Amino acid sequence: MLDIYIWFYTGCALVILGSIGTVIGPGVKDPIVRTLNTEVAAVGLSMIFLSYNHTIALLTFVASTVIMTMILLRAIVRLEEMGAKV
Amino acid sequence: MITGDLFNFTLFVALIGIVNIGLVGAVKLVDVLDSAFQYGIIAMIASLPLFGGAATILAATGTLSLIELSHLSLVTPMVQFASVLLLMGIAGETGIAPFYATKAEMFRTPGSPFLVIIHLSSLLVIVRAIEILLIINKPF
Amino acid sequence: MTGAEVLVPSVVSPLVVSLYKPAILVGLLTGFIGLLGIAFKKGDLTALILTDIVGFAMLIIVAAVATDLAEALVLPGLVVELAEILAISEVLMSREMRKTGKNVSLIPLPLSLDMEILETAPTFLAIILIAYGAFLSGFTGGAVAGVGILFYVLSRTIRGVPSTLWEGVAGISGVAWVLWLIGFLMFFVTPQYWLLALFLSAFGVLIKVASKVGLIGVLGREEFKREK
Repeated sequence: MLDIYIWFYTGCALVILGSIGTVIGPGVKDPIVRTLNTEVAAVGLSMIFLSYNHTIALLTFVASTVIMTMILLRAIVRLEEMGAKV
Repeated sequence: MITGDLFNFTLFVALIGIVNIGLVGAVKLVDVLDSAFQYGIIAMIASLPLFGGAATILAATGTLSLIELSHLSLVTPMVQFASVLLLMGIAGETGIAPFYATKAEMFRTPGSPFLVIIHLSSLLVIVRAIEILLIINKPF
Repeated sequence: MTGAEVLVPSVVSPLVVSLYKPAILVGLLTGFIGLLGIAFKKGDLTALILTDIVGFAMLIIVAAVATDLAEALVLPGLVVELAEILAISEVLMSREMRKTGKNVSLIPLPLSLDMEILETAPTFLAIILIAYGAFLSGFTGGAVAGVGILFYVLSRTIRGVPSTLWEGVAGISGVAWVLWLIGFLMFFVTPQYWLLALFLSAFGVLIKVASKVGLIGVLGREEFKREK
């Protein structure tokens, strides 16, 4: 059995790294890269949920993150098709 | 709004924010939609102090029931910090004083409907929020 | 009751108490990074993506309380965040559509799912998922079984078999929901039949969640038909 601290602090590090990467990471001029960088933070948050034994919260979070990414990608693709400057 | 549970109230305030975005977003004018977008961003950011404040009160006192909270005799610095967070969240969600600039443009537009609904709901929510903050902090 | 007992009840494990402060710090730091990003980066789409990070910070702070109540509080937080991001993105797209005057399709991605696995494996995988979901029961089991039904319906769609098999799924879902409610009512009215109530609510919610997720498959099939 692994130590719970390992899961928790790995999650914390992933959340902070992911959020920094979303703000000033490489290639974030492209909004799709920026959206995909949020997934790193999402994985970290999932590990924090896991270390607290929040099973149903984790399940719902995974589902809602997928839906959120789809919403954001749809917005990006539609805005690029319109040729809008955002 | 007349609830005995703190988290139900915060959830209600968050839903007020979403409904306000929907009401304003129904107007098909570029300026109003721009203002609605700014208001939506503020409302979404304000959900951090709103839910964070409620969770901090839960962590500090061990309960979310307003009746139990009114019976507690101690007010720790953590509860005061949580109350400040809660106030920031409610101000952001309903768009009052510090965040009023986001709502100004959509009030100025002549065609936008439901202004009275949005304004009145904000006022009523603020009255109840002040009452809840008084119950939690017990200044008197 | 003294103050210290109220602050940390004795049932809370010291492990969780020791994790509280770093979790709060991480949550505030993440929120701060996200807000700094929104403040310094220009662009509406950037702000929309970065509010996602702020929402994660909110979830960390709520989850750090680490009780069952906190877990129940995470769920509405997630739903609120999802609804807000949907509303804001719709407002943004509507505004840009007004500004540029161009009209684009509602779902811009071409959905062509012709993978080999959808032709060979669906029945086997669906049966395994549904059986495992029925074995688990409850909410989690419903989700697992629902994924099985969803996968089956989607793959049937790809193979082109017109299946009117799932028309009554909505009705089953409603009936199962009523079973679930009756089970909960029995807990309060006749507590001596708690085993029956437990099974009623567990399998009611199993069927309800499974059929709800299966309904997504039915809706998706109709969307694909419209696309073609």
